[in-house]
Amino acid sequence: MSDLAAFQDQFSEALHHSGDLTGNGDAKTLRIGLSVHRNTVYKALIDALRANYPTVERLAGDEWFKASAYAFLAENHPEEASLSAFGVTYPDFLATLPAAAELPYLPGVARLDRFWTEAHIAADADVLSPAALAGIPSDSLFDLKFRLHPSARLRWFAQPSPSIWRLNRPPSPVPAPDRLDVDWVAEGALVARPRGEVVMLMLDAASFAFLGKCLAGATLGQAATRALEIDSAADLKTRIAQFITFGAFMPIAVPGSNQREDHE
Amino acid sequence: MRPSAGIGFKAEHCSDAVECIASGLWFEVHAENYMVEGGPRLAMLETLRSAHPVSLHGVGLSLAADADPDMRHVARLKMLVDRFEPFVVSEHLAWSAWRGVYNPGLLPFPRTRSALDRVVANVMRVQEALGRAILIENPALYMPLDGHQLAETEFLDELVRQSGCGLLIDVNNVYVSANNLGFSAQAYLESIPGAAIGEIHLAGHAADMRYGESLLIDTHDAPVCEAVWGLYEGLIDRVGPRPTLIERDDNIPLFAELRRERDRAHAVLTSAPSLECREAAHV
Repeated sequence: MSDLAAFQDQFSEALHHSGDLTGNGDAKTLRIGLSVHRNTVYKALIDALRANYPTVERLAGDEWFKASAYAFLAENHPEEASLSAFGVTYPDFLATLPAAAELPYLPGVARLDRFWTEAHIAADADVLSPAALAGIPSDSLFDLKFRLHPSARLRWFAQPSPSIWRLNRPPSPVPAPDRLDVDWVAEGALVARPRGEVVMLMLDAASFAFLGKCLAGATLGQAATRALEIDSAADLKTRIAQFITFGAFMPIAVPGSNQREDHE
Repeated sequence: MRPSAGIGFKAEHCSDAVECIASGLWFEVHAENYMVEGGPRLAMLETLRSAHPVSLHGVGLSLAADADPDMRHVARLKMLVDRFEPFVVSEHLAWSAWRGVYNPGLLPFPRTRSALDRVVANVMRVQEALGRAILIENPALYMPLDGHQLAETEFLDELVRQSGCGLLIDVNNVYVSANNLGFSAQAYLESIPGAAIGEIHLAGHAADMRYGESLLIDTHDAPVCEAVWGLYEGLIDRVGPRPTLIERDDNIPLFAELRRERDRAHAVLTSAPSLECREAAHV
């Protein structure tokens, strides 16, 4: 191993655990200098998690959030220099914390912060427009496959995390006393960035089931059937129009025309 | 007009930045912030670029690590270079990523001849992949290390000679390092090869909370101090005008305040005689 590599091994170890750099100079000045670098690195890591989980920080408070972030960082380091997507497993990590048991909606809120980040940086893609369906005969509609927009993220939550997230997501959270002013029921959410901004659509069980089927590659007819099994009174026509207006879908791939061939 | 003085771009100032009209104004962005697949961030950079020249400043390439550059990272940098056509691309004389872990900081190393070989090779690899030369920025240092075989200015001079890269001289980093390690900032700046300087950074710093002024931290959270302005004016007087950036990454003030600092740098650049004028005057 080269001297440079050995130095960098030793420095990395000292940076992340409280070891010392030995053999490189005066011990005290090395320790002081190392602490400056350690502070810089950890400030940047905490700031990256803050940027990606702002609603968790808002709800849990700065102290609790920082403590959870340090615990997360003890086991998770970024693998790449772009920190925009750092912390993908933080929502799962939160769910394992004993403290999170007191805030059962919090891992779900983290999940939604994560969905926001992923939607925000997702590739640009066209959206299915209402006009695109105009020319399709109604008896062919049910055979179509509605594919979710590539920025879309879909989830069912046992806690009312979507409502809580919507109330508390910066930059315009509600005042603190109102932050949990929600009905305590299970909820679904669709997060996407169909045009310029990230948007969220709240979903009941039937809508969630419908979109879940679309995500799994089902036809419109199969998705509709599933939704009606959950709620036979669901007004699918209105709901589908709402999903289209929201921007939930990619343009329809019409069978037999302009088929894009996959290139290996 | 060629780029004179510029401002580090902040998203919260987007409309001010795009609408600002000032001769020679340009903006610098951190490359890693734009290594995303799509979305508003890239759209914002398109808008900025359509209004002003842009400089792309990387922080994560880890060129001083004893390892090959991460070519996936280089590929993402190349995509940004090709798309946004920055007038200058820069990185740091430092390491950050090591053995699969990215440390968001700029870390020091003993400047040995074999370290120089490694940095030269890494810089050349990146330049070849990008199809252009890059600028390398001098670091802020917080402790003396044993084992240096080359002074920093020697190291940078050799790096330029062997790799064909240019230099980004951060005058605040020189001031901070000189303070912390006890050398002369003036002497350092006088030994930098002027022709290699492609860009200059000016920024603010802060005294360490525990150790005070004996340990300055390169925080980029304050206005440029008068001592740094003085060093900058001396440097420009010696080497001639160079694109100069006002860097502020924390405690972001109103855009107008950054504009004022920028205008001060612009005034220094436009009042400095160019090297051609100065050489003609000696005839």
